[in-house]
Amino acid sequence: MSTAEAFSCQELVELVTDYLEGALDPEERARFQQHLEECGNCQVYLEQMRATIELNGSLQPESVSPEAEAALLRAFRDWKSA
Amino acid sequence: MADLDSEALGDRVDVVQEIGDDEIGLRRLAGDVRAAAAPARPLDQGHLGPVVARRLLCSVARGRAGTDYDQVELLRHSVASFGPQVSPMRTRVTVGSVEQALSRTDAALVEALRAGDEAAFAELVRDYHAPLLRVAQIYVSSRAVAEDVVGETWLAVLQGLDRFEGRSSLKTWIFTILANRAKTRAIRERRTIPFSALQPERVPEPALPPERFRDPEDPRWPGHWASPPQAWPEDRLLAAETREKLAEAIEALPASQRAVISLRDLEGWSSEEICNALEISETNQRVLLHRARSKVRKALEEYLG
Repeated sequence: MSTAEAFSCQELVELVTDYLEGALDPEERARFQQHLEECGNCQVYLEQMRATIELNGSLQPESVSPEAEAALLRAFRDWKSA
Repeated sequence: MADLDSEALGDRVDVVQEIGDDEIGLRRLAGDVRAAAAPARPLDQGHLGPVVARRLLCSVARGRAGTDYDQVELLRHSVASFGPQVSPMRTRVTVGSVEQALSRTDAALVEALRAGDEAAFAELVRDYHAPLLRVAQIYVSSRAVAEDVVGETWLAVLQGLDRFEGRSSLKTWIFTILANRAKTRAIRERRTIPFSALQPERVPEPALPPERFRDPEDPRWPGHWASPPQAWPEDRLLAAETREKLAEAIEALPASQRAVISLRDLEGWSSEEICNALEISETNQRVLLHRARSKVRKALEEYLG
């Protein structure tokens, strides 16, 4: 058992990204997980953050418009023939 | 521990070598990898385009599936448990070779561009045009000016090709040109970039309003939830309209946060690639990502609640 003071829910919410990115040091990570085991509300929060990231990944990234692409390819041909 | 159908995934990994540039095969493999990385939440695979599938495979090749540290560990673990016939190293190598087959190396790409290969240029434009626009918008005042700056950047890339020596990646080189052009334009527009835009750690911005929590000095439950999050209804979460709300929430973010979340979560870039393109530290990248994701989650909560 860690003797360090446990994170509050408010603190945990601000550490979620560092946790998911693997940026917490081992001691912080252990405190984070310990809080999580005991707190259903924070489990819901973390689950929602994961769902948000997963849903972001399902969005189609913006792509170049046909007009812009055509203009760039014209510029490429001009550059080639220059 | 989540259930992973390791046999099915192992089979796919085995056939990867034969897939080559077969898009459907790649899509299927990426679907499996994605389902394995997020076993609790199978998403409609129809939304996984070939570009995303390819990027997903790249990230697996680099040992990073998805964006979730725990799930990457789980995936790695599962791949390791396939047994001697498919070692994790071999998986990485195999997936890496697919990626290589699909995307040319920088050297080959530069050579093709110099030789005037239009398809090579079109490929580059498709990969980077939208990300360039996202980043340009951090520096300049409007979308129209950003498009202008990106256009200039492409011309500068073509004119500078002969001088490209490969000391950085082609991607980093292109984004350096963009950053210089965009900064010059911002000065001409007499626009000062708010210092908090790329140095976010100086200005605190909590993920949730303090009213959501009890007082930090509360004698019994300091800093605990006062108004806790409610679980989201699964059917509504996966509805098309929810995706629209999500896209709107991303559009509404400040330009720097929007750039980071788009590059990271939609385009599948690594944090290192984002730091290079935006010329920011890992810590700042994470702060921007955290704020962006927190706001987007909150927007979903308001919509689904």
